[in-house]
Amino acid sequence: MWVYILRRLLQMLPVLIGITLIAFILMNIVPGTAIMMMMDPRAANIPPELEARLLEQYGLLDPLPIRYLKFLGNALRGDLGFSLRFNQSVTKIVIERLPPTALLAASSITLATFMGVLLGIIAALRRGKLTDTFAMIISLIGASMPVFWFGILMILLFSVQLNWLPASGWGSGGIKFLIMPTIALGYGFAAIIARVTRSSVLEVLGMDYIRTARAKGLQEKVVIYKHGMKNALIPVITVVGGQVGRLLSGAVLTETVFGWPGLGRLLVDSIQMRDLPTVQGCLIFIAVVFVLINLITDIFYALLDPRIQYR
Amino acid sequence: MKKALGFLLVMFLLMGVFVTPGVLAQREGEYGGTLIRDAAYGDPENLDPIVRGRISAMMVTMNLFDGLVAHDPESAAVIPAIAERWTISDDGLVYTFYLRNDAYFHNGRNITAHDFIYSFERLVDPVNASPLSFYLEGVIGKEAFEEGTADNIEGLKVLEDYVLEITLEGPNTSFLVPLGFPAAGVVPKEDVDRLGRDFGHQPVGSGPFKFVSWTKDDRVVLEVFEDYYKGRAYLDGLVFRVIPEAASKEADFRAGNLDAFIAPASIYRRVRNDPAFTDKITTVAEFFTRHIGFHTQKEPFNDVRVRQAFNYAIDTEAIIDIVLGGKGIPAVGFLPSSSYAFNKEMEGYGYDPDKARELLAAAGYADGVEVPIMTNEHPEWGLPVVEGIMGYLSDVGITLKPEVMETGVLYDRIRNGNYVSYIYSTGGDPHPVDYLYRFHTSRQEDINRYSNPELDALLEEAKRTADDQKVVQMVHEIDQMILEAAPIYFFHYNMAVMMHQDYVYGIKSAPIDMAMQDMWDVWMDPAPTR
Repeated sequence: MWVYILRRLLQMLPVLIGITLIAFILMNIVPGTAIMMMMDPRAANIPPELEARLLEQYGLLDPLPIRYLKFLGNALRGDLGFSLRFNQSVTKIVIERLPPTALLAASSITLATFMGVLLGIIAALRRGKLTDTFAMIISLIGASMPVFWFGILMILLFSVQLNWLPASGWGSGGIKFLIMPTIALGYGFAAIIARVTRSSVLEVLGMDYIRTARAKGLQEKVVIYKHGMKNALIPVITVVGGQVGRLLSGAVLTETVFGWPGLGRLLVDSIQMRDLPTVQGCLIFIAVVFVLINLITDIFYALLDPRIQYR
Repeated sequence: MKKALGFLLVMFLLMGVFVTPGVLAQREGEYGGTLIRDAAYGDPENLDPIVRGRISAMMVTMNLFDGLVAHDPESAAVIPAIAERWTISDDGLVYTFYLRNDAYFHNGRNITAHDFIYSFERLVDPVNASPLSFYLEGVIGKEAFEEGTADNIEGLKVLEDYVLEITLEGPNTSFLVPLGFPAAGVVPKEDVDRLGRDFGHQPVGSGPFKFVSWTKDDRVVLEVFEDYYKGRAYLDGLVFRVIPEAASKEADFRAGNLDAFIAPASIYRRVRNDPAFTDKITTVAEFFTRHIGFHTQKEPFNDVRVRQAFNYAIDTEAIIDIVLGGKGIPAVGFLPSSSYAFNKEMEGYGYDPDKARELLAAAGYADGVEVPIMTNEHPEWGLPVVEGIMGYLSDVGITLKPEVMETGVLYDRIRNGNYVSYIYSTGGDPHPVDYLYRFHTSRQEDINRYSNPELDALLEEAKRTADDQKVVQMVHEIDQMILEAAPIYFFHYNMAVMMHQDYVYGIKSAPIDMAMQDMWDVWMDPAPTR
């Protein structure tokens, strides 16, 4: 097992190099520089001589391979560089965004898993009945409704009409600031989880070993929860694992609607501002999170199904 | 005689009675409360005034830092700040500033002329790589200091602790203007040294508010500076909230969680005629001219008749009303109507499709012409506007071919001259000569490839002229020349809209940028409960 984990962690290195290289190339193909973005392009411009001097000073005139190698060298020493946008260490900037990002990811994935698994199981056990149809309609709405639109609807109802919840901001993690973004983000994922859970439970309940369990005279509850669920939940874990990775990498639309200071917004804004060091820092963090979450998901498989072993 | 005096006395008393309510309406402000407003253009990113030249940062730093001079909030003219007065030598080269002796940094230390020398040299010092170092362009010795061949800027001198002298290489009518922006503000050396790069994240200035905290992409919190030289601000606190989505800002405003914000056309369209919002809207013709730039060295826009035809072909007022919900003032020249040098006699092109067809035919395009246009997706100066004008233009024979791109790419292509036409918004300069100077040949990359030696000479002369009245006359002439040469389609001056609660007083029609509000004299009725 430990050898497996170590191997997976080592596999992360080429992934990180690949991602940062692609980002580096793309960011350098796109017109515009971070120097240009230091000013409001609608207003005063930087005189060309000053711009040339600043480009040189920030090392942006070095040949591309040199710049990338310098970045890699520093990154290996744990230095992700300096943001041209914030004039601050990229590591510090990314770390600052972690609490809001992690909080929103944790709350929405908790809501989505709880709601999704519950709806999925109910729908599967009541297959073809009104409850099944109802549960699937709820999940269909969640899967098809854009987060952006759903968020605005909630704001209009709970902030403008009822004045129960603040429309935006993160309020240092205050619960009332968390409710709407969590629902907006979690609902869509709950719908996906519900649909996967339903089909997985249905598949498992049709298996031979479930029939055998029933034939042995076991109570239906025991058949379902002890024998059925454990296997039915493996695909659900795959889905949840994938979503956790995605959520930790930022949920740009939700963050935008609710003014949530997360990693997704940081990444998108930094791309627009041509702040390559921050973009690279965000991507490295996201890649590491994805790889780690996938690894943890794989380890969970083994815990749920003893037949799965890692070497 | 006595009767007449008695009558006058009664009249004065009566006038007093009737005038009093009006006077009361302008009563002294109430002290207290924390005002929450939007960080209009997103997170400020860095609050060291010399690091960022973006309005997102300046709208915050202008309340944290003070300079020798400031800009009048409504006319944008240069007014005293820490320098309570100044003199300019007859040749326009030597500026002598007399500083107040009661101005203090937020750390409690008294500000002297030495602090300004330090702050100006810090702005120019290449080590700090400021994109705003050009603010001191023209000061003797600036280049030598920048190149490292001098230890200080020769043209900056402390005559006495509270007297500062700046000497220029040549006269410059708008030299004082940039000194009113936060980058030319005074900073305390001891805090800059102590904090290093973190100064931009824990700034210490001398403005009416001092820094408390900053949660990136969420909010910046300031509190009143009690020892401010003009007297403490009315507000106890000031919060800039970063809310990217306009609909969320409006919701927070309606729910009473936001006291003021810059409203886009999508919101203004709905509230402009709503009586419930009459007391909650302040507007201004901002110093931003929305326009379509023509590459004047490429076909078909190398012919002035085509450029003029383009201007005649569009019913600008209709576009402003329909596409922008009325949020715009039709441009009759390049200089916005809120500038003190604006020529009220100026007449723009007006809507005359027949004249447009005539001009196109004379230019050899009787059968029509196809024109590529670069655009972003900005709702007020992007694709929706291009789509709105396409019908008008095709009616006279100009077929627009829009090419949609991100603003950064658009801007880069404008600068590189890689276009035939583009839609954009540009401006921001408080001084009329600087505003029009972008049509000087030396600034071709800024707006289009227009070059006219006669215009250049006039611009250069205006830049050197000290007499304000003469400058205004020259500005009228320059703007008229630009109008006739039509290097752009004169679309509109942005009508900036600030929405504020009816318990907020003192919001100004700030033309430099509506978001750049001096919050020193803004006040609120007893603090609202949130």
